Amino acid sequence: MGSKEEIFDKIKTILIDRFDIEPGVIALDANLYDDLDIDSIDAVDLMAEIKEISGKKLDPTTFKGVRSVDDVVSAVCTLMNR
Amino acid sequence: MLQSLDRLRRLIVTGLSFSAFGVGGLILGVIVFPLVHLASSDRGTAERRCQYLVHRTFRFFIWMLNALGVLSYEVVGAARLRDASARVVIANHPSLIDVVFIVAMIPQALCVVKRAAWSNPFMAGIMSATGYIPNDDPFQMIDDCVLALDRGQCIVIFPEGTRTVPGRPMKFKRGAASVIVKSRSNVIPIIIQCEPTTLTKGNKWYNIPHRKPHFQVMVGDQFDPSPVVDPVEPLTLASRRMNIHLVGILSSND
Repeated sequence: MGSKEEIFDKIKTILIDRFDIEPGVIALDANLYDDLDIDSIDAVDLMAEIKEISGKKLDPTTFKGVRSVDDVVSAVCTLMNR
Repeated sequence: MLQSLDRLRRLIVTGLSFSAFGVGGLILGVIVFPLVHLASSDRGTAERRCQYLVHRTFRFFIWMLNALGVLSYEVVGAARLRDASARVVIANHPSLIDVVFIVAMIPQALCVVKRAAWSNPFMAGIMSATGYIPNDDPFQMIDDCVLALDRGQCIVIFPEGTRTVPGRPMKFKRGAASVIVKSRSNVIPIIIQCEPTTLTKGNKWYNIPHRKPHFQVMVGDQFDPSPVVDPVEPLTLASRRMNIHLVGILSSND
């Protein structure tokens, strides 16, 4: 796993399986909080899931700045290629 | 003419009532509750005593609002709350004073309150003396609620996390649902209706409605959440499912 597409697919799977989000609304420009109805409790769970797939822990302050799905994918990308 | 006179009268007594509420909060928080804490052997006892005093004060307050003609109200099913323990009490939240009606029915209630109340000089003393739970850190809030329920306390929480927007479908945060899923405590739903609407979000106290508001507070049947909870399901999914259930209960009018 390393390309943006692969990471997006993984994130999408998590959003569908763990958060019961309609596959149709999950796009790179979708806002986690407004469009996908993720709340602060979910956000922490999402971070834990990211740690699970990437093997690395996402910095909580980085995650605070995350708004869109694209932001999540970019953050994981940076994390993986560090 | 008569109507505007009535409105002016209600405006004045509403203002006086709010002042009384603020002053009462100060007296309790700054003088009475610190004394209760001094006189109690441990913190838990002191908090329960303070919760009881809030209950008595709120009972008096709604009696006063009704007597002064600020509002009228009817309560259905209050007996279901009198001896309740280890229950999660949930309600819709049409107005600022909903919690006053709810706590007036529960002798000892632990409320989940927005964090801002801890920095409001009229309420800060009450918040710390009663052990009420702030809602700013969701994990801490959930843990505190589950612990309190294990000890047999009643939790009062508005699942919307803020006041209901009139005419719009209710949208629940996941906090209350998570508390219910994790604790599996029985839930008592309360449906509050207020006609005409008053003290909604962003509405100042002096924008009083054209006629005296009437509150209808209906305490519903208690329900056991266990059959709805799948023990192996992750909390993110379980709380979503629980919310669908809760919205259905609080939206039904019978």
